[in-house]
Amino acid sequence: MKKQKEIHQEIEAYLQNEMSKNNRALFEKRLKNDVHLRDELNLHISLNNTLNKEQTTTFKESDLENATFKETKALLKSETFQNISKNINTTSNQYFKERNRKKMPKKRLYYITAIAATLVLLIGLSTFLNTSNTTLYKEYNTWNDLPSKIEKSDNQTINIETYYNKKAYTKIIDLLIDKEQNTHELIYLGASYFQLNKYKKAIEIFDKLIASNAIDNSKGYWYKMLIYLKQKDTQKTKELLATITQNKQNYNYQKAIEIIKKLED
Amino acid sequence: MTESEKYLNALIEQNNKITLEIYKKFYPKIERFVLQNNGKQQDAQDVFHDALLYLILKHKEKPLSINSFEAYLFTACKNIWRNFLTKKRVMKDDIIIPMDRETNLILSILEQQRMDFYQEKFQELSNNCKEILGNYFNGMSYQEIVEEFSYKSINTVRQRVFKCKTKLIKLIKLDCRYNKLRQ
Repeated sequence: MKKQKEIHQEIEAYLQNEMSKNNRALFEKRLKNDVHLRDELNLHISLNNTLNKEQTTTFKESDLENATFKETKALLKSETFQNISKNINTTSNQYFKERNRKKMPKKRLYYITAIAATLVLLIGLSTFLNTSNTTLYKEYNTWNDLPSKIEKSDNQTINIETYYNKKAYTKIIDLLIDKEQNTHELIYLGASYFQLNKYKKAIEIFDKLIASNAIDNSKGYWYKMLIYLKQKDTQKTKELLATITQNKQNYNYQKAIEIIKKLED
Repeated sequence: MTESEKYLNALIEQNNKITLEIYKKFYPKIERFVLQNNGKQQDAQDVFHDALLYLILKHKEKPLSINSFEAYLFTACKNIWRNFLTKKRVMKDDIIIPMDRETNLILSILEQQRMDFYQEKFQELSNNCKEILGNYFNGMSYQEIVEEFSYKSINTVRQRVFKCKTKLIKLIKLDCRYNKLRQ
């Protein structure tokens, strides 16, 4: 094995591009087989990258296998951190709510004038606006495309989805009403109430989904929003859209942004 | 208890009231920074959230004795957002691997830990080494170093840099943290 000093000299020459073409090729060949040499080179690069302020750090794929990376990842996944993260999110929502509320009074006078001025117009346009809500609803409603778990599940789930497709909504309600429902079941239950025009009941079910600890509890916002959109309750629809767009991870985040834009047009 | 300790403990204990205080006090500045740097409000929100986790993680690893919570938080946000913008960060045969938020956060932490570790070892060098190597890492050319510190020749500087770098690498490798942080 070569001496440490020689190895360093070689690495330095390699990094400074001072090797002949031949030597460079030889060196690269050695790199492929010699773990020790590779580690040594990586440390040199890492030092240059990290300590040189003008360089932007590049990461290597091996960074994703690195011990610290794995440890940190596990920590972030731990219950403690999940809870800490949740608290930050809740507080963040609270903060934005308060901030938006504070912005209101300044604009209130403007709103009152604007509302007064457009009221006459609105009355004339109301029929038109309603159709606009209806068009949006038609474009975005996903009642016939509920999340399916059919590929990996038990008979119960398959039954529920089949009933739903057959429009046997009361059967679904009978089946699920008296049991502890999971996310999937809550969605089908809420959707069934909706299909039977029992909007209030449906909203109750989706509220239950929102309040649950499920990772995809944000689906509840989406379905609730659809119900209000269908009922042409623009105010409530907008409120829910605002909630959905507060977090990118929320279900149908992108679609919610689209709807907000279209409602403004 | 310092301001930083108060905030970090509140975050760890999930104290909603003080967490809200953190948002009120520091969020607007971070939002401005992200908005000015090609970000949207949602990005600012994500970066702020991740930066808080970043501080807690670092604090848990080794209690932070920082004077200014704000300065530290701002640095964390900047690192995270910069890393997110330069997405071609993880390379595999020059192919860009798309990065999610979590990976970005962890890599930002890893980067910071590496930097802290190298800098700690750097401080153990002789004054002369610190000076010459510091300039070298700051992008000064050998020629410029010759002129600045009146060395005899480029070759002398080259040898000096080489010696100091070898010393630094030795110090790093002797430390047991090296194995956990290496690339």
